[in-house]
Amino acid sequence: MTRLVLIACLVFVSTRPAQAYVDPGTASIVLQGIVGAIAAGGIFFRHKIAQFLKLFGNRVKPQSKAPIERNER
Amino acid sequence: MSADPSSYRDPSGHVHIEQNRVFRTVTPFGSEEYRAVRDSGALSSLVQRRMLVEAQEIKDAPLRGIGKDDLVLEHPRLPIISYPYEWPFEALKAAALLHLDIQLELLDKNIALSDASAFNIQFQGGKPVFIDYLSFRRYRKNEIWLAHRQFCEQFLNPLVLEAVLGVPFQAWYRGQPEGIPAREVAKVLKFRHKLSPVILSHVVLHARLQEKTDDALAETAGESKKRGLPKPRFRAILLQLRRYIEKLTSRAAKDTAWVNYATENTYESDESAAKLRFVERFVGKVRPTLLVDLGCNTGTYSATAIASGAELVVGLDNDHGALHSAFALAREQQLNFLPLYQDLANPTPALGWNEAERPGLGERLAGANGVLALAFVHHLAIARNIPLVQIVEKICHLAREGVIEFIPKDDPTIQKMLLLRDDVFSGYTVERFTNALAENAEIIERQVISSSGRELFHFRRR
Repeated sequence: MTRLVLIACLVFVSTRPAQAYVDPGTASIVLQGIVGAIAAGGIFFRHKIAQFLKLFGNRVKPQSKAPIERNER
Repeated sequence: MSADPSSYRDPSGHVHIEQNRVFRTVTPFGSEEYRAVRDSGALSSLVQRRMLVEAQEIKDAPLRGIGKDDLVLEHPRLPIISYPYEWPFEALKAAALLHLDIQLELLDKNIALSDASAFNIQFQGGKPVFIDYLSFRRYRKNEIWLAHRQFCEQFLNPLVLEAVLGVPFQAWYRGQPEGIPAREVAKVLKFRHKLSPVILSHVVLHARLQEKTDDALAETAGESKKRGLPKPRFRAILLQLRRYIEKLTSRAAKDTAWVNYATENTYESDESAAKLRFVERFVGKVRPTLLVDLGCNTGTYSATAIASGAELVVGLDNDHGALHSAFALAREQQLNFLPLYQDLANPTPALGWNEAERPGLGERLAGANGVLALAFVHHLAIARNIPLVQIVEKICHLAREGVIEFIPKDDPTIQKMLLLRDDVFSGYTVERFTNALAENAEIIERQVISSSGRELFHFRRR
């Protein structure tokens, strides 16, 4: 399960050529948020996953947060 | 007066070496945190278990030019300074585990480490010890692990390189003393390696996130930082890394060329005994406080030297399997023996800022007063084509007194080395060797110890 979550994150993190300097610590901070949640057992953090998908709002439609919509489909 | 060339980053204080004593100043910037940590009593337990060097606050330090409000600590002087890119795999692993253990233990006492530099750890024999008192500070509720990236680059990635890929990390690490970046390790990992959760998150995903440069990432990071990392999650990350690293073993140290030398060499048992006794006699007479064992292999003679009265032995070798065994020996028997990875034809130079931050090997071994060069000279002379005379001179100047073994060209070991090569070594003779040695030092004792003509020389520089 852990692996699937991490792979899902990976799939959505595309790489683009670095055009500007960004402190690599930024990546570490985001990573800790994800890994901390998983490592402490909280895999089903919807807002964490939604937040991650938000990083790519332009390319991927963020999943709806409302469970009702899913049931309707 | 200025601080030690390696002590410039931390505004909380600096290290000064004066009159062969080690002092650490604590500036007003760092004193509040230092005092809080000190008064918590958390460090004394670490010192007791020899996980942290001792420190004593002193009033009249022989230091000039320091701030009048600076506190001064004195630390015991460590007789040998070594760097992560010289450590065998098991040593870096032990250092990583020490770092994590200290973090975990202190987290329960609300103390955090402000960085995760591998250079904050030194070795006493085979045992790692933390040295940077100013790295400790009070834990702030829900603070994120600011040193996570540094931990990955200086501990995790080099270990992964060697454990998972079988690439020894020392050369790579020496080239980038700030640590090995995740993207470099990620690039050489194979698909099957990436399935491990720790690698997937701390190496692969970490690398991918580092390559992102847009604002969304910075925004997410900002939010994460504000929300913070609750202590249980912080602890979970540390434990996850600890469990993972604990299980790592080197793929580069298995079945190497020299790992079985101690049992499979060309000495007869009485020849080995004669060699051991010669070394015992030498060490018993000289009682060196710092003995350097060139080509220490699995540490047999280093251990003998310690048993015969050498205070500290630093072993140097470039075979990873042999070093693995040597380090295990040092740990198991709790010897004051530190085996280090070194190619003596290319010893560690001065590195870092100003080419002075991390002094080279020669400078750090300047205090050596004993040297062993057993079954070693031919590795430089024949395998690396280094002139015999220069090798002898170099060994004689490493320490005032020592033992060098000369192996004649017709010995089976050297004949094997010359099987597929042209014999361009007309200068490699015992006469040339003896003359070179006599020019640099006095020969105190010499003894042929094998039927093939191997001879030991105890020399003393005049």
